[in-house]
Amino acid sequence: MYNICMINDVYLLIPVYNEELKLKKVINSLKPHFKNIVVVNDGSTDSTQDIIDNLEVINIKHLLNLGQGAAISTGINFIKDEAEAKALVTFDADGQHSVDDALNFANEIISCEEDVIFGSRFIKHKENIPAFKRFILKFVTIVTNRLTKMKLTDSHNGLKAFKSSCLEKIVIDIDGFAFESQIINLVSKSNLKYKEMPTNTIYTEYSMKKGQKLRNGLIILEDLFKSTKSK
Amino acid sequence: MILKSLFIILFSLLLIYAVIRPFQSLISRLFILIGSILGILSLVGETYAGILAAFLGIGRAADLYLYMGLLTIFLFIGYTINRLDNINNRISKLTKKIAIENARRSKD
Repeated sequence: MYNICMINDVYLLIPVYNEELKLKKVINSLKPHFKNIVVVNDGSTDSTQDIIDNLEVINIKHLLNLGQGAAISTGINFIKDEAEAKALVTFDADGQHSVDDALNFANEIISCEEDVIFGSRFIKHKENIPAFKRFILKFVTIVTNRLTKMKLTDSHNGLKAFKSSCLEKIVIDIDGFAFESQIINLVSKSNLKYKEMPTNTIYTEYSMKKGQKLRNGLIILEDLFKSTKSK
Repeated sequence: MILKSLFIILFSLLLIYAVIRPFQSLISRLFILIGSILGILSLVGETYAGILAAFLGIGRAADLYLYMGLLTIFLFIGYTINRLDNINNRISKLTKKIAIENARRSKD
């Protein structure tokens, strides 16, 4: 069970791109629990920025749309210099993650000995994942595990937690979706301690539209090969 | 004859350009240098180009130019993609830096 008090020392990092329909609801559901919510607007072209301006969150704005990896990278670089931050939790803005999971991750990363916690849809609730997506995710996870020598059950889950002490080692230079695999590679190469925790992903028509396109799979694999080759 | 003279001037200019321009990569310089010399050679003395093609095991001078042309196209594509990647990386770094600086300024 999670602590229901306001969490001050774990920052919540939310990358957003054109999320005018869901963002307000998502942030309002998190605000009673997290004091520090960092929203990185990755060059949205709709009214997302106007919504953020009225939400009393820490706002970082990309002038251009670079990709989710770039938004996460900017957020990490900002949070690692925040004196109050002991850890951070990454959270998707499309409403597919649950607040309970974010709270569980936040409380666990502070108390556990591991540096990184990866979310996994395959520990519990895997029946929620559409069949074809489940197959693709498994395939990408097998390839990622093989290339990075890690043992994960879900390599592309947006819900993750990092201790601030390890953020210096998490240097993301892949702007697109393959940053997830790069993080795994960095954790492996830096010998950081990690574990997985179950997440309950809520798939809606909206989140499926906003999420990773299957056609991006080849680009993700290409970037993964590049990231495993680089130091 | 006019066309031939034009091409000789063109290849000569390219040769001078390859010699005096400060290239970052030696391969780029050599590529333009060899290409322009072969161009001049094919115009002023076809037999020399034929000898060179035979020496390289290609057979005809025309085939040598075809292969050179294809190689040029592939190298140009590779170079352009690499260049675009570099520009993207620089834009990405700049955008991230500006975003963080603006966020810190508005927080203070």
